[in-house]
Amino acid sequence: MKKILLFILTFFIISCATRVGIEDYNRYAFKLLDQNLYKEAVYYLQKAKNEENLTKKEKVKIFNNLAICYEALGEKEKADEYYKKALKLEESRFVKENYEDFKENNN
Amino acid sequence: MKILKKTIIRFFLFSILIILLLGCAYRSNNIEMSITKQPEIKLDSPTLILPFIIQGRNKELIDDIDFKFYKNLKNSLKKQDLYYKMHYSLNKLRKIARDIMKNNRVDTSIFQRSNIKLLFTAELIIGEELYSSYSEGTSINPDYSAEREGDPRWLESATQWRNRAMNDLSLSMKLHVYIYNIEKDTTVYSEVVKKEEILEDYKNKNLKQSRIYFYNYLIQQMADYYKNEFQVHEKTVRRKYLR
Repeated sequence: MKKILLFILTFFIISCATRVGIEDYNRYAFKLLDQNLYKEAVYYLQKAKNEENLTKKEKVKIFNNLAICYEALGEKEKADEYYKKALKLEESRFVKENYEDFKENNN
Repeated sequence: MKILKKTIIRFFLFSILIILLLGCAYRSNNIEMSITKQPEIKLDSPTLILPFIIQGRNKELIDDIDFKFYKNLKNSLKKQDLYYKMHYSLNKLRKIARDIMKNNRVDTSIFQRSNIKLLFTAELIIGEELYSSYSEGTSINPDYSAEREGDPRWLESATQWRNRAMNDLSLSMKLHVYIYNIEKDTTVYSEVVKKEEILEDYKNKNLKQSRIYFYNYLIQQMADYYKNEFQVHEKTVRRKYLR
């Protein structure tokens, strides 16, 4: 039993270590966005987007966050494109809310 | 002891599973950011603000509303091609404003040598009303009705609210905005906006001061309306950033 437990724990730690790139980019982009550094945030989110083997959930996150950055930069077409991409992958409540607000502001 | 050990291990494994599942779910952070909002109609040509035509009581308190409105816009928008009066006579400008409102032929020949392309004016109808003046019948106080998203805690019987409403005064303003395009020789914008403020227990208040406060508030509202309708402006929005 101890061996199984040790195996799970090791697997969990290793998996966390290997997936650190995307989460780090995303977290750092949030900090940049919070300081109104939208272009820089886009740069790191694009890096995250170009990572290999992104899961569906990660793609939704990155697309939504990219859309927010593009909206702040005034690039509405790109923002619209990324919101749609995120919603196409998954009808997430958060993305839906963001997209509805975005459309309302641009009508 | 063995059973206890097994239970603890199971509980531990189950907790790890829950943590992993929670980790997979979306977590969001609200973020506030400033976006550029496009107006309904963009007024990017040189615009002259004509005198407003004011109707109703207490006109003397707001006879300079057009100038205050202009100053407010000039300060907040830093708009360089917005003008007020210029060298033209007020009577002439007032006549032009009235002609625009009545849809008469507008004589714009005085602007021929200027760079003015658009004329902005408004008709203001100022109202003061005691609730008691329309409190006939047995319906509930209209200010607390569902239509006006009234607070149910304030639901009162008709007799009660009529008695209380005798001490309330409703200050209202109906604003009809006109924009006239000199080159096209036509009115390009005509919209009506209504604003209302309730002055509770007005008999115990300084009515003149309250009116001035209300009119200043209206000027601010009008300036916001102008920005939203005709100018590219900054707006703070809230979005959900997914973590």
